[in-house]
Amino acid sequence: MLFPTLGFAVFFLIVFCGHWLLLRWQKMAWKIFILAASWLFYSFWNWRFLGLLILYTVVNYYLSVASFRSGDPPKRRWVVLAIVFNLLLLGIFKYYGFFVVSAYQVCHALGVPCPLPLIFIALPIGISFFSFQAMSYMVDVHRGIIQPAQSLLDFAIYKAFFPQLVAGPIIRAAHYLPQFYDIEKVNRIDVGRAATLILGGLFKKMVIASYLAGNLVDPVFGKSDAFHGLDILLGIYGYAVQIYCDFSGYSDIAIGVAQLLGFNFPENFNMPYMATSCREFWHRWHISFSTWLRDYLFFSLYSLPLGGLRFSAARNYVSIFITFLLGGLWHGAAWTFVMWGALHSVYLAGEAILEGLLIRLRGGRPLPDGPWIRCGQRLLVFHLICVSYVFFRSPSFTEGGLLMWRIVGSWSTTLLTLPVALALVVGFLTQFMDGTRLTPVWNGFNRLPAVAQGFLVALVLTFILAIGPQGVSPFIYFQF
Amino acid sequence: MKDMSDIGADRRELGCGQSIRRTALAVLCFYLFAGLFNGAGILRDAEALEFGKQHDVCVALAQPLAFISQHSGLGWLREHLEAALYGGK
Repeated sequence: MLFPTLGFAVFFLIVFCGHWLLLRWQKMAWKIFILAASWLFYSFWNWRFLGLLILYTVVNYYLSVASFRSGDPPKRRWVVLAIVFNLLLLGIFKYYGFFVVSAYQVCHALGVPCPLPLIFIALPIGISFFSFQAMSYMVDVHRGIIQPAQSLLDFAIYKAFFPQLVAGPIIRAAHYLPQFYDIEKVNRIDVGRAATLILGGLFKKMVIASYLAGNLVDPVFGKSDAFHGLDILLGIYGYAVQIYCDFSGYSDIAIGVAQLLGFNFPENFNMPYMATSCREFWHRWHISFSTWLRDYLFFSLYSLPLGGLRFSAARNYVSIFITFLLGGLWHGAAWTFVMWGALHSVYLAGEAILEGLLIRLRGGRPLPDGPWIRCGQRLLVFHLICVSYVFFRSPSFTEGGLLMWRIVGSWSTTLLTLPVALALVVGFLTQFMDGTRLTPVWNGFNRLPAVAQGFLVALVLTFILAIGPQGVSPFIYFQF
Repeated sequence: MKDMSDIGADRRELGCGQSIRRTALAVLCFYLFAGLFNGAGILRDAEALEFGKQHDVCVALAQPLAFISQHSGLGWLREHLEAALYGGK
């Protein structure tokens, strides 16, 4: 069930009413209702995978309890077992085909038969998100940051809570569970923020991302040999705007929907294309994922011996490299995603080395700063990110390389029309809605009478529905 | 540019927002107005669903909504916007 559909609108109305009515009446009934609603939401894609979600829930819950009860400090074996379990399922469902195909290619090159059977395994939607969520929960319990959920039912609701179930943001238990246990105390809803996030997210997805996908990005990446020069460059810029609008749109709707149910989720994007460095980009893009990688992967790698590397800088670069290779692989089972991760690790390491070198050359004085320098940095970072997107979006290295090569061709354009240019510019500017920049709008909205609020949101939605292309394609991050 | 420390701040702690009763009224009003403004579009979406029980229920629910939307004149805005942008879908 996609957010911007009639089905979800009906589903949410029922859930919203049931949620607040049952919460006032009996909390146990509310818990059962929310869990049933979340499982129903997940079942709309494929009810067969609901069993997998339940398996994840039961195993991780009991392992977390075992870890918590194993002593102080908790025994490591429970968390290791949980991580192995989560990675095993993720490996089977998401990466089996990828590893088998890669093994076949290697065996073919070596002239030996490959013993692995090639079988097609359907990808359960959201598996990457709920696997990562389960692992962070186990590690947090092991580290003593949180206590396990009070019951299996509570944990099942945390795992399955529908706004964040299939494409994040990756909400940590330390953030969710305290709100969950105090949910009946919520007596105010920031409707202004929720409405702005939901409408903004719908606009980004239904108008900008859908339009750019159909009229610029898909033609360029789907039939790259038919385009040259400016068209390809526009296609790459278009993908940068499309993926931002698509994914941040989903996150915004998820956060807004959760807000209407009384939960406050942290924001997942904060003007990523205004970053002045690649490091800053990762503080602004898919924040719940980048902080997950930092807290649970990078720091763990950094503390490992890593072959006896003694220098902290070298350890840092190796840890960054491995973190981003795995981060790339998390996005999809293909070498193009690994390449995307490798490029980002090179950017980050290169940036740190260059910065250190320049500061040393300047005799320890800080680097010069100013509006024009920052503008140049932003342009450079944006283009580096765009280069990484070429491999992220292309079906193969060869296709990605050819696409880059064709940029130097003819600079005539067949794809640049006024609506495309408008969609690119407006899509880029939607970043300015991130964070708390719209606080005056939220406050103004909250002061309106309830009928006017409903009227205004319905009016804006009508505009979005009217100007957006017909039909809604799935969100890009659903495939991850 | 603002710093990033404010990201995800819970504004309810600052007393922002409104009561749940008022929120519920706003949500119900939204559904009412959205239905009336987009009745014809909702019917079109319902008819585009795959044939089956879901299709039949959605169409049955959307038909009266589309009728009211059309005859009350509230569907005017979307119709005119679509006609202006796409020459009518």
